[in-house]
Amino acid sequence: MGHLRAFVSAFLLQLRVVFHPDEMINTIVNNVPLAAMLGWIATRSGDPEKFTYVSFGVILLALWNSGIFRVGVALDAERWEQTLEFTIISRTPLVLVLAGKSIAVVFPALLSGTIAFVVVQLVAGRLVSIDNGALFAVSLGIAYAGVMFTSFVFMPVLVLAGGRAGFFGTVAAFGLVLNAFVYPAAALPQALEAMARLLPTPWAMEAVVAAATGSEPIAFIATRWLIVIGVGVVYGFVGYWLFKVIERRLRFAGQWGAA
Amino acid sequence: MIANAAGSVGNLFIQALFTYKGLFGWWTPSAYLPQVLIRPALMVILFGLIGRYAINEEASRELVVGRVAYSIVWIHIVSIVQCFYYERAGRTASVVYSTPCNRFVNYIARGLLHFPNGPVVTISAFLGAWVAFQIDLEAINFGAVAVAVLVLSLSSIGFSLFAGSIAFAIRNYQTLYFTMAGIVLVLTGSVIPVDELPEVAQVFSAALPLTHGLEAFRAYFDGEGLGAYADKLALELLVGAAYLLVGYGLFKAVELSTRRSGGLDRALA
Repeated sequence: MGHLRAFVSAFLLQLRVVFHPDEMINTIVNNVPLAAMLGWIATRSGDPEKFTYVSFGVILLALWNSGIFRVGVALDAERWEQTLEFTIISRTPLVLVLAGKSIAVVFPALLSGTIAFVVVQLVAGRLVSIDNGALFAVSLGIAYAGVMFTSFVFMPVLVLAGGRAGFFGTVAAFGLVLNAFVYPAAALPQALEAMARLLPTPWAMEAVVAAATGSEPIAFIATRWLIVIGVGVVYGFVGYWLFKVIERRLRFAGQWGAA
Repeated sequence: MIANAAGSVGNLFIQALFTYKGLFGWWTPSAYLPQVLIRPALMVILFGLIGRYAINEEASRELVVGRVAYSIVWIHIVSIVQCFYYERAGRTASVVYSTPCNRFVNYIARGLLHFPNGPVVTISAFLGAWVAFQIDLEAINFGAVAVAVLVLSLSSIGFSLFAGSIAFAIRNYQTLYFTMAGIVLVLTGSVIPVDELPEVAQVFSAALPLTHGLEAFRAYFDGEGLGAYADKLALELLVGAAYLLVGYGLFKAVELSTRRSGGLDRALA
């Protein structure tokens, strides 16, 4: 019960931070121009599948762009303001508090994802169609979870690497390329495709696009769901283990990461 | 007279050095490497990949060239605006206001050492594109491209100093640089050709940095001689100089307003 209270409190505290008007405006102005440009590029293709890829890809792209940045900033702010120490000396596991924070970050990202989607449709002057609404909704939900799993594993990595100014932006940029949000992983050069296949999001996007266009059988989509969940679970364990490393460092060495 | 001039130049460089080291958050290797060298290359690769997937190889090359040029403006806006904001947040602006230092020299010094980041970011972004897309190097007029990069760096510093003066006057500097960088990305032809923009936007586009220089930059990438687009480079410099001067006016206005009210935070929004 105490753990649950700590989790909810961490969630609510972070929610107040991310719903500050300045933060909301930043999240939107950071994503809208990029979405508009990607939307314009998608309209040049004339291919409905490519337009579908970009239309739904920008939603996850905005989630990633905002999510990874805000999650990293939230953790680094705790480090600099030395409030993470209070979490450490409490009985609540660090992972629970930070999971609450990272889930709170998703909410404004949902808004910026929706705005990015609308911007792409406005730039294109048409609305993307969805073949199977139920399959699509499940695929998008699983894709969201995939992005969150990836963000979650990066959260401790950012601190272990001594998360400095500029580091989050670069991790986010790597993710924009490798997560294959707005093109299939097969469009990447071979070496990058191999790396991208280790992430849940390229699989998730294939399921989202297949459900929206109806171009593939249900078995194809279900296989992608299972892969996303499987890879996500692995990422969850890796994230959990990394959080334990952080806790140990603080308790025994008395310092964070490379700081 | 010569001693005075040498003293002023020395003073300019000292101010530039202190501003850069004290206020530029990415000047340490651990931040410079990812943010100035790696990130621009990744963003160029992203646009090249989406261009190749959604349209074709030719469009991908156009997007890559546009994005390489945009990287110059992006790095200057983000880093210079950041420096102005940190001066305000660290409350060191009032120290500057209490000195009799030449304000124009102080203003220029805030952008001076950021200049090399323009060429550096161009090289890293171009190398990223070259590795990912094997761009044909034979057609490129490298000498002319280098001149265009220097001109774009100068004009974008002028624009960024103008943006920095605004950052002095507002609380949320991130919104400012996201907005400025977004406007430049959308309206200057780095992705959407200017002639495909609505007419009103085209007029606005002509008054932005990068628009004219990018035309020359693209032409030099296709092998054109330097002289063929010299007028575009001159226009680019003119736009940058205009922003520099308007920005200086704002910089002075913020100081006047601060002196009247007794503090940056009390004087401004």
